[in-house]
Amino acid sequence: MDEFLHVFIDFWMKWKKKGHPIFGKETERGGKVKRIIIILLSTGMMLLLAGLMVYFIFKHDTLRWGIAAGGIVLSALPLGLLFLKHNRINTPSIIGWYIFVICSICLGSIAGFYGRFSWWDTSVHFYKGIFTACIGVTLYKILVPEAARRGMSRLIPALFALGLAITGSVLWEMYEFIGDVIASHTMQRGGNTDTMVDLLAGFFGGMLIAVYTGFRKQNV
Amino acid sequence: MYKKKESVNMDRKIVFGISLVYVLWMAVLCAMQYTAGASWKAAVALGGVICGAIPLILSWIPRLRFHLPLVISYFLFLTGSQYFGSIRGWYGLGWWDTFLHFVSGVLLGFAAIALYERLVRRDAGKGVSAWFVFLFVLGFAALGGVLWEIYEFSGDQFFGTTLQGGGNKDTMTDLIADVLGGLVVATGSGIRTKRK
Repeated sequence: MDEFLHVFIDFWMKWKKKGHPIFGKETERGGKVKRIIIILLSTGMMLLLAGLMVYFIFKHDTLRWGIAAGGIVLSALPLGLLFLKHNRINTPSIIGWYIFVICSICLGSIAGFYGRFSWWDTSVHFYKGIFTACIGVTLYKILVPEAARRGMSRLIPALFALGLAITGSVLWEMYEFIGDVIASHTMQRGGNTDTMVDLLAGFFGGMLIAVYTGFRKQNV
Repeated sequence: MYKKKESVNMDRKIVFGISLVYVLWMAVLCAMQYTAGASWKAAVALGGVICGAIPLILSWIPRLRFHLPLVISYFLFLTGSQYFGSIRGWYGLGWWDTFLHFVSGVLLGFAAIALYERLVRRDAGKGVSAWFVFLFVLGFAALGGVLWEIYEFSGDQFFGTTLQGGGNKDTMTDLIADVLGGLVVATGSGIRTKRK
């Protein structure tokens, strides 16, 4: 029994150091899995939205095929990560991005949840606040080396995550506002109250992650 | 980013000088407006005395380090809003409010840098990417702008004020001006970090 265990541990150590004979090194393998996930998710989403786009073109629904086209662009964005040498954006963030695209483009705009449920818009903004703040934490870990992180107050990553979430919210509202001024006149229909509720939802979403980051700091 | 002891003392003297001038100026204005019967403008000038007195009192604390750009943009902002905006009535111009939001974005950017210098240990700051500093400063300015709008909005909701009377367009122009002001300082601090 003991011998068997030793063989097993030896094999495990070797695998960790040199890599599995078939699957390769552990980190390399993780990278490959991540690439495959990105490719599968983005092509899947792009095909789905392309199908919807064709369907709405045939139905002469100009607004919805435009939204579907926008969704294709959003779904394609993570493909850009494949060109990085070291992609350190983790898989949950990538999946989180597609959840956002599904909730806002597919369900929100195309299936009309924004119009049907008044709470949908606010919830998506809340989720977006959480998501951007999580990206903020990932960026903090990428852009600040381990040694520098130890010499920082926990307020820095917390404020960074919250600030990024807020910047995301403001940029989104700016996009809606400028889009309305130039073309559609529909996105900020709800007026000032709508804009402010969106911003508040984004703020609270970001705040949630910021507080968590502040408490965990070294271990986020 | 970090300074020697002599220049810290020099900074304190500069802060003391600027705040003293501002406080005296506002006190004279307050008296003038009061005797002229403009009690609202006199109250604004009194507010100016109080706002100017804060850094004046802080400059007496012996080991406090001042971030000079922050103090200077603070007084520029006070002059713009209290003197030109309220007493001279430039808020009526329309674009003055937007311009002051831009200045407050700059002010918040400098506040972010001052905060960053205090919360990051001197030796730790070296390996930090310039993009981190850029995003931190920009995010802080945007956060300040949004908190201001939230304050105005909740005042309108709960106390019946009309701070956001201009509606959505007003709110959005304010926010865009805030972010642009923050962007200027963030770009500058990002470039400075990169050079080091």
